[in-house]
Amino acid sequence: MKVFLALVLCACLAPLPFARADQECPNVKASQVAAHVQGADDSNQCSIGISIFGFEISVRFGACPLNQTITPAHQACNGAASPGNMCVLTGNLDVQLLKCECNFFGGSVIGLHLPGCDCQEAGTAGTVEDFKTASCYPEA
Amino acid sequence: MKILLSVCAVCVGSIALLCCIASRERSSRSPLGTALSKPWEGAAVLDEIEAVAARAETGTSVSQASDELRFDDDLIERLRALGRARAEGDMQAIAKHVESLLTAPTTPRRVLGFVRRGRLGPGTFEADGAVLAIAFAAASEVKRPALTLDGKPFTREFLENLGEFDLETGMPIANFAAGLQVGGRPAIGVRWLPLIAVLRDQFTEHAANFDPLVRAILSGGEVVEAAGDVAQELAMVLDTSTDPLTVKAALAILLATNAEAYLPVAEDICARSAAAPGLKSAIIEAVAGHAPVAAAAASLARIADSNAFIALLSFGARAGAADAAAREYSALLAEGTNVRGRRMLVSALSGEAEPVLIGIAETDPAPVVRQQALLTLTLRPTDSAASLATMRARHAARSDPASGMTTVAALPVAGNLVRNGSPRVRAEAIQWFKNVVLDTSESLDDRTAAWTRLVSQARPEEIVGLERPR
Repeated sequence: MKVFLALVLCACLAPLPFARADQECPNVKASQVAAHVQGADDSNQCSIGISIFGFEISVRFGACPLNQTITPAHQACNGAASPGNMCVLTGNLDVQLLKCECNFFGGSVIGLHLPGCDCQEAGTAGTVEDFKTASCYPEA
Repeated sequence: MKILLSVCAVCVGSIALLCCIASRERSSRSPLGTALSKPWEGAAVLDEIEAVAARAETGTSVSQASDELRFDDDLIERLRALGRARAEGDMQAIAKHVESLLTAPTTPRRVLGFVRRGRLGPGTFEADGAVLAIAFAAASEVKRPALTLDGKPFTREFLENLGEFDLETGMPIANFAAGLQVGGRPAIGVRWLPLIAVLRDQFTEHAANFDPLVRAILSGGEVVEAAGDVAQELAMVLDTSTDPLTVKAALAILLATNAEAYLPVAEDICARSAAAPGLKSAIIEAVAGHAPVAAAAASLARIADSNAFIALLSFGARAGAADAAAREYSALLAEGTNVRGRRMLVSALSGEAEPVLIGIAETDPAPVVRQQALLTLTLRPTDSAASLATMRARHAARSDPASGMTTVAALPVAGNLVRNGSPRVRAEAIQWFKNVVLDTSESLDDRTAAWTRLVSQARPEEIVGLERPR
């Protein structure tokens, strides 16, 4: 009887296989991040001057950041809840750097619609990790 | 005699105008915080200003409504002429018309009233003229306070109105005003940022109207500090707003004013913004651009991720920032911690000397940091063989994760050398690509990835006879 009780107790205390797996499963999924272009806060000074009441006011041709980065669409692991799932790293994607300069040609110099900014690819500034969602229990 | 009567009439009108404004403003005048905590009541005041101003300028009686219309028509005609001058790109005519419109403090306020009441048809010359008149009025106040009326700058009235304009009306004016600079600084400069941050938070529906102004101010390079009461108001904005640009503007000022107090707040918001990448980026940009460089470097190492390369590049260009980033990197390396932070700090070292970045590429124990050092180094034009030699050596040791560099990690470095290297460096980098494509000890995936990059970057004659691996 004592042996039987001990066996029952052991059976109750031993963690079930799925419970142990559940503790290890982060229960998160990968979240889609759209491709995006980010411009630096510091910008080129693309402007012409106009004298009003004897002092000069510069009229800038639109926004022209010194640098821009293009981050491709990817999936990030931001901790979004998803029971039974986890994020798995699939690889790295290039983040492209563009260097920009003023474009003084074309269109009205004082107009609002002139882009005023030419950007050229300068290379890979870094990489961003790309994840996918995978089940914690692939065999289930 | 006629002249004397006219002068008297103008004086009476002006006194009436000032009395009217004074009586209106006595109840509402208050420091920034309190004034902006309640809905703006300036529209009625402006309407009254315009009506009185029109009468004052002409010396006519209140009942002469037809005269008022005539004088409105006269102003619209002047705006139309300005709009035409703009379309023709006639700078002299623009200056002449702008000066005539900005002589009396009431005139730009009347123009503001026209815009608010939709008096000017969209896309017309007069609407274009109004954009320029309002924007130049605000810009001219930097050097010429003549447009201040009863102690209230025109710029303030413009900004308060901007919060109420729909985007179609407000955005063209904001765009043009944001592009005006005096002495190399935004004309609507940093002194207006606290007011703008609060207005953005108050008029959330039209908050985007302020975007061009905020961006111009934040990129203007001015120190953005704020007095205590303004800081309190901004801290409240920070507490309630989830709009990235509003948070960025408020945080930029608070970090420059008291980084010790607000960096932990910034990091806390950042930690809670995993699901809001725009907000997280805004916070990182505010830290990178406005916190003192040493504190910013330490903070960026904690919060920046691979979506923040642009912020780190800008940070690295600030005075003293590269040194601060290098010091923080060395401290983290000594501790052997925070690989992500080390990598982002290295991305800020674009101005560092080649041996420093080569040293990091050869010694950092984390592959991703070694790769970043070479990416940062190869973003600039180079005739040096050092970066290619280091990349080759790390790639040759790719079977050892502690010192090597995988083919996938080496590819973008070689790609940068093809793009930014001198003809000699470029030729060697292309040869390296060819070797990988032909190397059967490499995986097919890696050889194909090398082929894809090579085809996109090499000239056709540089890859004659080479085929896609299979």
